[in-house]
Amino acid sequence: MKKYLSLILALCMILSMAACGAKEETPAAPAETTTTPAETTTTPEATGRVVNGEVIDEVQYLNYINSDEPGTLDEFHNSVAATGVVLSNLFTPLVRNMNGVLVGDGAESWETSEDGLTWTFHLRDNNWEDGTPVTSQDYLYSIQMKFKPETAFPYSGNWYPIIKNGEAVINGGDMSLLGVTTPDDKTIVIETEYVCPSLLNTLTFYPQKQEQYEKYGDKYGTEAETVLSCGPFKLDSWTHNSSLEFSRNEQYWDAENVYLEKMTFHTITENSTQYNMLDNGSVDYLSVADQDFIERFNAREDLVNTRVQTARTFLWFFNQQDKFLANEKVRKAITVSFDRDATVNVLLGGVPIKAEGLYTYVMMEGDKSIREASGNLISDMIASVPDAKALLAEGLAEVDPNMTPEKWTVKCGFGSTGDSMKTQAEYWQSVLINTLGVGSVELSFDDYATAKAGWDTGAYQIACLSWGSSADTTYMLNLFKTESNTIPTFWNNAEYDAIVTELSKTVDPEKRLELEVKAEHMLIDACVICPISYNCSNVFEYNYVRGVDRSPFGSSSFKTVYTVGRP
Amino acid sequence: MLLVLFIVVSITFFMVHSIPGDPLSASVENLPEATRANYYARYGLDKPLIVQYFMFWKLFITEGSLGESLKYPGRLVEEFIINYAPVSFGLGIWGLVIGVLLGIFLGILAALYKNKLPDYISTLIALIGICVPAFVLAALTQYFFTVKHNWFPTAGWGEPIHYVLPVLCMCFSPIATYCRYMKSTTLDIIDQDYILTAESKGLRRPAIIVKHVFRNTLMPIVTMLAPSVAGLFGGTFVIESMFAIPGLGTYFIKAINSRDYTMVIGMNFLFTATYVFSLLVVDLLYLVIDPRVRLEVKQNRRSVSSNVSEQ
Repeated sequence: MKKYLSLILALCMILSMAACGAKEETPAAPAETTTTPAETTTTPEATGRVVNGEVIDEVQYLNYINSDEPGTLDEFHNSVAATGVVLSNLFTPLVRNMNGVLVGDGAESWETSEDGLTWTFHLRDNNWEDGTPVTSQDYLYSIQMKFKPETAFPYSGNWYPIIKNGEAVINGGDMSLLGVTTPDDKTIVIETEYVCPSLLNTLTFYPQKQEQYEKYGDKYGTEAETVLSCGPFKLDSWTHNSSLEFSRNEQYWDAENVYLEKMTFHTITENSTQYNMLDNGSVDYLSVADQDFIERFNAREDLVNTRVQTARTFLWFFNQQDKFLANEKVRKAITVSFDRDATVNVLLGGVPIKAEGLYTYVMMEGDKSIREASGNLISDMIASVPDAKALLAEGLAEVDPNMTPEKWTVKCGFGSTGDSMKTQAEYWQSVLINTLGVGSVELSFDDYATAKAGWDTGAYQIACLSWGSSADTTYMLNLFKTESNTIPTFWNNAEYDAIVTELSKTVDPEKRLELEVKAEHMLIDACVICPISYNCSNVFEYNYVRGVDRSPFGSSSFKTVYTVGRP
Repeated sequence: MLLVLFIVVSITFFMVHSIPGDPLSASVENLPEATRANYYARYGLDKPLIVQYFMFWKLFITEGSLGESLKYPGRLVEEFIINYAPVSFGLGIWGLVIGVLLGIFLGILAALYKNKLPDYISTLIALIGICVPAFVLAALTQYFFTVKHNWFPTAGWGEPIHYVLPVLCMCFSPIATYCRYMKSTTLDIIDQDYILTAESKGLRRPAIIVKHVFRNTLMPIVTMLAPSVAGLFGGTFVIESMFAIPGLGTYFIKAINSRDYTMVIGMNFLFTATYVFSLLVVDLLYLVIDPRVRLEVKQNRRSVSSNVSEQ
């Protein structure tokens, strides 16, 4: 007996050893070996450097997780969100939002005209990685490329309504009409179609060197060596679907205030792998969405948790072409029936914040939070309806006297197939059935593309989506204007349209705030949308990490990051 | 063979295009009509489906290309396959080879020592391999070996150490399958008359096992190998995304959700080709392994040639 057992063990060992031995000979894929940045030696000057009263580590590096492979680093063709953080470290936007403050990066200073429509930027002296200067031409080229019809820029929907004559140019009009000019090499003037005080939080203006771009054409941005950077970091290597390696760009105008010498972005799509990597210190910080892991990491002493609000609203919307959902009482009954506290605290473990309207808390008009100015619309509405079930019955009977909640069937569509979505959907199903007495509620889950295709044609009753809001209120409110079909509610209201149009011409912050509040009240009072929650993320970082930028909009970079006392 | 490939790729083509939604609505919202039209024109998506279908084959035949990826602009689908298929395949082959060898070994052992300890042990291993899906195994090993004990890197690629955990997770399923199969075929064969003959000839036990039992069990094993090899890509997907291995897996999964038509079709092309090719290899292997098949082929030839000469 024992003889055979030991035989098995011996064989297993031999086999596994043979496997390991042979493995070393296999060519290691197209991948380049990832060197740990710890091996890099520091320059003697860097020792004992003091930042904000703390002596920083001699060797400065960062491991970061990017949850998706960048589509391409060609910003004109990219449609993957995860590319953003790569671009913001490689290039200099005119202005960066750093921890909520707008700081000139590519631009040294800028001013807006009286009417709020003309922005003039004065560039600072900055160089491309190869030592050639960054000029206003480079910024102009980047903007013009986005507006060339043949580029087919995937995010042009965010750009053309804002830049003057953008719509005409993107539809094939003459490029010279576009409201962007360069009086000299160090000045760029951008004109907007409407008054957009949050322009710099809405659009990110990166430069692009024309020669470099045309040298590679379609191949630009597909490999590390095709990209020429001008930002705080340069890209050393890109192992597709595995990692990106960065090092400090010595040509950057502010290179002496960039602390990190090396950065590695690991491309990890799997949540559990991400959590494990944070757990064993393979990465320095991570945004954690899973409730169980949040608890586990909260218990660790060396991890610091910061709750960061992301500008994202989770909302329901109603198809007003539907006979019954066209009735405001029906929509209101559904809107008030959801218990937001239960959804947020019980179902979602207190991670998000309950919604009170369209705007999230991070949206500002000047220095005022629009959310706070507008008030708690949803809570007030819930308080004003004592009996949602009766309201539903009343609404249904108004449309069809024979219809009662018990006979009514409603379909809810979800643009996600994730588990968390399903849990929430089942909760809402039970609310509709138990609280409102709806006869039957059908749920359907599709991936976003399939669901969206159905919504666009009006083939839905109630749908649910998570909308990443922009800092620009005009853009947000435009979504519900009569001609907009982005969130297809088929709601038409001339008064609302007029308010949004007026907002787009108003400069005075007080007046703007008033209009923004009014428009939101109209949307919520008419129950066009039913906001549920605002996204929040729990960012965990090791206690030796400093200076991570957490601005909710756009272009954060790792320019300001450093470590103190990394073990 | 080519016909099968052609039919499968054609079906895939029409199926993937018939899913509601398109690459644009999957990734971005709120596009002006002109941009949408330009985008479609760039990839030829503005033409009728049947024209696109012929364009696909034309491109394939004239340039040998599967087209440009929609999600990763500027990169051709065949580049992905050339660069990343070896990664997936290499990993999968290691898992399969180790799994099959161990499986065969454990299977024979279990059959020879039926209802004894070796049998119980190998049945237990097989049971675990069948019941525990690869992703659970991956999550467990990852937690145990990279978090609890920091022995291996959690994710990454390029060094031999990055192979260990993924291969470990991947070989369990073949161990289970082949162990069970081997056990039952071996038990069958041991009862055959020719084994009795061999025994009565006075052959020693190891010789009987190697020459008679093992050789006969190889036939069904080889038959099963074909789908296993073709399934390699499929099996590595989950492991790849868990261990962040830059193989084809993650690209394929994401391609469907982001409606990257060219990528989905290209990948399916690869899988079909692998499958068809491995079936061919199996047929050829039969000839090598089994003298009876060779004999049959010869007889067929003879009867064919005699038929011809009679006419």
